[in-house]
Amino acid sequence: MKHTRREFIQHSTMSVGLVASLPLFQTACTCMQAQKSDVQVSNCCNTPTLEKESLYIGDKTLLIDLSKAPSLQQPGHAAFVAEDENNIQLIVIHTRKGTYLALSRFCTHGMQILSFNQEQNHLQCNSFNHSVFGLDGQVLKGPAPKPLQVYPTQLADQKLHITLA
Amino acid sequence: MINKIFILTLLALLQTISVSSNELPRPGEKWTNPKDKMVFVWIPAGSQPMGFPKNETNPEPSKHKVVFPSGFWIGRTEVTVKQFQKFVQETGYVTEAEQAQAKYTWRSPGFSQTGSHPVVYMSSNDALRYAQWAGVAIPTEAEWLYACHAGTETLYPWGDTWDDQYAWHRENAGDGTRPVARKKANAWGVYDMVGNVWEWCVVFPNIGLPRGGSWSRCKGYKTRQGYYAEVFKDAVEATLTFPPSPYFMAEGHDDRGFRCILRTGTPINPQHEMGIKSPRDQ
Repeated sequence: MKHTRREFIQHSTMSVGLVASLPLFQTACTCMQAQKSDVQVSNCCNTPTLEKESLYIGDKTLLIDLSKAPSLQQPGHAAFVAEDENNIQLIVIHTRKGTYLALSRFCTHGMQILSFNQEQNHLQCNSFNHSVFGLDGQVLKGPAPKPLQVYPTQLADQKLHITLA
Repeated sequence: MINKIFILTLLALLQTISVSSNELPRPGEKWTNPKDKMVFVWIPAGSQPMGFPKNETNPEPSKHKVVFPSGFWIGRTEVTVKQFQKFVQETGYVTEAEQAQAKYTWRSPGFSQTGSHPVVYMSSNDALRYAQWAGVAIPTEAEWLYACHAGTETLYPWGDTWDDQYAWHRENAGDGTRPVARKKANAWGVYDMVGNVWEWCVVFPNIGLPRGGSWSRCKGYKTRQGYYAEVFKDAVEATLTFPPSPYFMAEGHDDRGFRCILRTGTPINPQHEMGIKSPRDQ
């Protein structure tokens, strides 16, 4: 299929324009990511619960088989581990490729749940006063009186080990 | 003779009523406060249902209507940084957050803002002092709700389905407030009643509660525990419990602002709950 010189220039200009405008749309829409697949992914307001089949609870340790945890597959996504029986309440965040963090999932102010805000790279309380925490657990803003508990993580062979003690 | 006097008196009375009703502004009509250049819009006469539902702390549910017999003016937008700056320049006012030497204040809220952003880190006292200076007032919760609903009977003031064209919330605002009046106004021409900043309202003579939800609130979410919250629910429902949550009343935050009102008459049955003392009195 041949193009005239004019058609080629028109198509090129449109493509460049579209590509140039993409970052703007991405910035505005990250928080409202479309969830077309069956896998639930987190955004700045919603956090899915980690797939049960990926979870192995040991004595003071937690093991997540990442090959069975699609909700944590992409960097920028987070998932809750909410095991009432074992008193485990965490948010696990896949911050960037190969790096995972585990923190308490409740705000230290009113014990409301937190969300991971990928754009701002911080955790935000979902309640009225929306305290903000850094990924090191420190309070960045708001009325939260103390930092979040951070749990050490170790990644080996697609298995994420979290030390709870 | 008596009949003639009666008829003349009646005619004069009718003429007076006719002139008075002609003088009433129309819904959405504008008035600009010369003090701060805030544009107000006219809210027509009407009434707002209020009351507390039955719950553990409030065994007797109550319902009543607050009537606004003559309508009122309400700020078309939230008070902006520029307007608050003028107030501070003229009066030397120091906000409560500044007095407390807080890390963040209305001058530096922790996100970028211009003069047309709504002023934040406001306490209810800061709002009252501003209103006093501007010769206006802070709305009661009933007045605020009435202006928010704008005479509609739909689920939201704009219809029965959520519409992002009317509200800033966490999922479309980003990391802070947005300039006022960038979203669509409600049917009476009032902007940002849902989202952008919480707006202080007077519930008791000595206590304020914020209405309207804010940029930091989610559009809506559910958790495993069944807890559900959304910016609109915050806007119109959240204080209908008693006593109000201390978390909800927290003052001075990056999403606490206000708008003003100018009353032209006395509301009937204006108190949220006449028999209940303010929590600050107990």
